[in-house]
Amino acid sequence: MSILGPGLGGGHGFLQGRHGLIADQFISMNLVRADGSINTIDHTSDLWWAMQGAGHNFGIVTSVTSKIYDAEYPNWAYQSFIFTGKDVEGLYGAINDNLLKNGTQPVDIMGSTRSFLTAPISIPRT
Amino acid sequence: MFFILQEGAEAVDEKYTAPFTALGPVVSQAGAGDYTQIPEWTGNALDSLPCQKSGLVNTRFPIDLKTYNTKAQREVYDLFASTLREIPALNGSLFLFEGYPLQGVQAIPSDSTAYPFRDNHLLVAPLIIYKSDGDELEKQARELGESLRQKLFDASGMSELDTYVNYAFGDETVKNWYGSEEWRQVKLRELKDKYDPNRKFSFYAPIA
Repeated sequence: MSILGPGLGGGHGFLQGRHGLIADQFISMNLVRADGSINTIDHTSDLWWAMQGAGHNFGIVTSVTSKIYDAEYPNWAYQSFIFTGKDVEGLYGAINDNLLKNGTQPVDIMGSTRSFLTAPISIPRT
Repeated sequence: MFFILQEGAEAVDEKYTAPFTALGPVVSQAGAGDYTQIPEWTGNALDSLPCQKSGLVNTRFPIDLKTYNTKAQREVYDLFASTLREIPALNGSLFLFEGYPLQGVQAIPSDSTAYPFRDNHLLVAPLIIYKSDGDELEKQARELGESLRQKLFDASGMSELDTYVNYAFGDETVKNWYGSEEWRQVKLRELKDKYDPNRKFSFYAPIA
């Protein structure tokens, strides 16, 4: 999966707490427009605003110049939990109270659930 | 499966894990490694099931939320589980509830880009997965996805349905995809009229 496809519609990522969306990193892009012309556009173009979130409506992006970052903290830890259906209310209440906290989730934390009926899609490898 | 990821740690801090351990999970696993291993831990790696080119239909019905409504979570869980049991052709489906950190996204002023949902906190989507098998199954898949989303929206207290465009099913409105504020819609239409008056680039979630 590319970063440019999602980037034209915003683009969430694990480090968005630090650096923002994929689209927030774009500096300039080469765009093939509807009339067949190709231009390099950046923040000085009136189109720039729209490319960061609705970009797929305006042309074909053939390349992009983007900010990139050294990983300040390359090491990560995870803990996964498998719950059964009886724990639904408890789980989401706990996420609200301990992680989400009205939108003040810590910058270094990500918390997600994936529900499925049968066996897990993959077992995390330790 | 619920997972917590913590950046820059050898183990997730107990202050985060303790409330979940207290609920009595069936299984819990922990580990640590490099940023590049995150997809393995979360089932999104290149060799994970959802990323295989297996010819399956993958449809999503996204909704942004600000918080979890535990009653609605119970309703959607029950509907998801019961429907998957009743219609085995849908039982490879997933339901994703993603809680990304927000600070970097919110540091950018909301009106400075077309991305409309910097103030939302959760990215939620049923991922209805099935092998294509006629119109009836397709209808059932879509009804399930839409029902789940509708239940969450009804309980959310939000005045507008906000749907992350990259996950969109396709039947949402332009306000759902690009924001309900009228100035956003006006600005996008003006730019569309200027740069693509003949609507050549209207394949996906078109502004017009």
